[in-house]
Amino acid sequence: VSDLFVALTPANLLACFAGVVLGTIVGVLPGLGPAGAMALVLPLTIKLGPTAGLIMLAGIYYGSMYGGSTTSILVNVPGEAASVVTTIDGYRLARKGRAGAALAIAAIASFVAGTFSVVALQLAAPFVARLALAFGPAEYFAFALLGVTLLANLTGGARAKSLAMVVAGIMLSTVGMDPLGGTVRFTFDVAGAQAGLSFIAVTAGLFGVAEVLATIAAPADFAPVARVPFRALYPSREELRRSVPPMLRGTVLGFLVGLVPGPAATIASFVSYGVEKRVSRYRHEIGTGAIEGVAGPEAANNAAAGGGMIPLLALGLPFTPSTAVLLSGMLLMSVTPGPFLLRDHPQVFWGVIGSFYIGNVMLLLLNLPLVGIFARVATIPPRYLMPGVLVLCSVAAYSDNNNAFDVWVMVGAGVLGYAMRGLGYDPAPLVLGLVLGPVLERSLLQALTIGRGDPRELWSSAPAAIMLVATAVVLLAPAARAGLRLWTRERAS
Amino acid sequence: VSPRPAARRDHWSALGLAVLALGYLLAGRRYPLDTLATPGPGIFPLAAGLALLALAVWQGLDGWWRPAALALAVTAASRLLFGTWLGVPLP
Repeated sequence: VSDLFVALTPANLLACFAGVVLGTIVGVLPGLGPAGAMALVLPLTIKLGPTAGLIMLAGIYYGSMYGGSTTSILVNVPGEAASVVTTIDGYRLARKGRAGAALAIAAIASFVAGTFSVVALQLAAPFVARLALAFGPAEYFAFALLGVTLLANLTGGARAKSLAMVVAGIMLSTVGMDPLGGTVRFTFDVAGAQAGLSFIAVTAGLFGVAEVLATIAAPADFAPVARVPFRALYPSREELRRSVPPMLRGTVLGFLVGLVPGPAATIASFVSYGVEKRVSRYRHEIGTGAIEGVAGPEAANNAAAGGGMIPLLALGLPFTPSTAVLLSGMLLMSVTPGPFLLRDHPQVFWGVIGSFYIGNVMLLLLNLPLVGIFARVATIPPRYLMPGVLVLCSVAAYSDNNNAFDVWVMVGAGVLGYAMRGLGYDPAPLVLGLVLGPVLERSLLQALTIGRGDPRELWSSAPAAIMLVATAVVLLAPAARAGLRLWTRERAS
Repeated sequence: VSPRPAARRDHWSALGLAVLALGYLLAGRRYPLDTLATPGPGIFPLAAGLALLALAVWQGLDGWWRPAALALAVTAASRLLFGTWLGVPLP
């Protein structure tokens, strides 16, 4: 336990501070994700030595989760994939003049979830990691399928429309190389499309550019938010009280989802939003600017970031691009993660764990005072704000792969997002499909290959079978319920 | 009686989705399906395109067409599942 205090040495404290500040900036600015930022500073961290270097890299990783919500709430542009869901209620809260409250709740939820995930990481790492390994391709396919089916109808619109958007997102995810064989598909000989459609470009277009177009089309609907007194910038007692249950639910859910391979932080935020939509006392308000729609997903994506560290530290398996960069950093510093990490490098292991506690406190102290400054962005008149949003979106789209093609993708997605608003389609399910499409395809094809073409491989294990049955129930339940209602009414008459 | 604007809008958007799905399926024909044991790059796009086409048709239908389409789809799926694949003799 004394190794935990290694994190308190001045060099490690400084590395932690630099990491969380960098992470917050990376999270706030759409485009350069945490994995890219970590890769950029990797040479510097090697010079710092294993403990300080890894503390800095980890600080960027979880710091970006904190900062990701800021642009989602203020200008409807997600800073990170995991913050897409936060735009739904966060931006509406900002339009109601509650940007400060939403930002503060996002920071507090991130702190609570971050701290919980560190405690759980410390206590349960070896046990939970073994459990996570039980997930094979068939289980993961069933899990992803259940996820897209359950979460398709996030904002409560028409079910068929939401499912159609999920499938459209899955279709968009097939552009570029196929995940198993490497065949280039649906690129129509455009070289820039070979790497696939940039997730950042699509989300910046669907949310940010569509918002700009909507403002141009109906400027009267986007009057600047009135300035509020300093005290009103922070959450009221009622908002804090309402945030506690979704925060706790999001934390536990996010941590568990973080153990599963794939884009865990993004999935966790969607799952948390879906759960709040069903179980919250204020579920009828979610989607219209409810604090629960910010607290739950923000807690979930931070807890998932902590959960994702378990397979890395306990088994040496990175499940996300960010933890993969962290793994490369560890290997470059001659630290081999896995079952023997604790025996061979106790100071590194406990030093990094200890820095999580300190980093979370630093992030809270760093983010809360900035709430007032950030909240003023929502009061800028649209004629000044929207050109800035457009520049932010273009820079984000371009900087993702340094590819001009992605800027065109962003413009196309913006026009599509604007049309979707007019036709009553929600962009969030499309984003979900885009994220989970490659996961679904890879796991389906792997399971079929393992089963030598026998589809029964997909439900050969109990967890996979249960999840597939649950998917069928979720899909057929509304039709069955409507039929039952009709039958009861006819009997009564 | 002309349909309400929202319903008409949904019909047109369903038609747009169906056209998108058909275009995607046509473009996906150039990628081999191979076999289920060694699935090719065309198999997943085929499934996704068919799913979008089915959803577009479902959205475009209203009134008694929906239960009729659902009944037809369940019958076809049962025929494929029990008759063709599992080999259960159907009455």
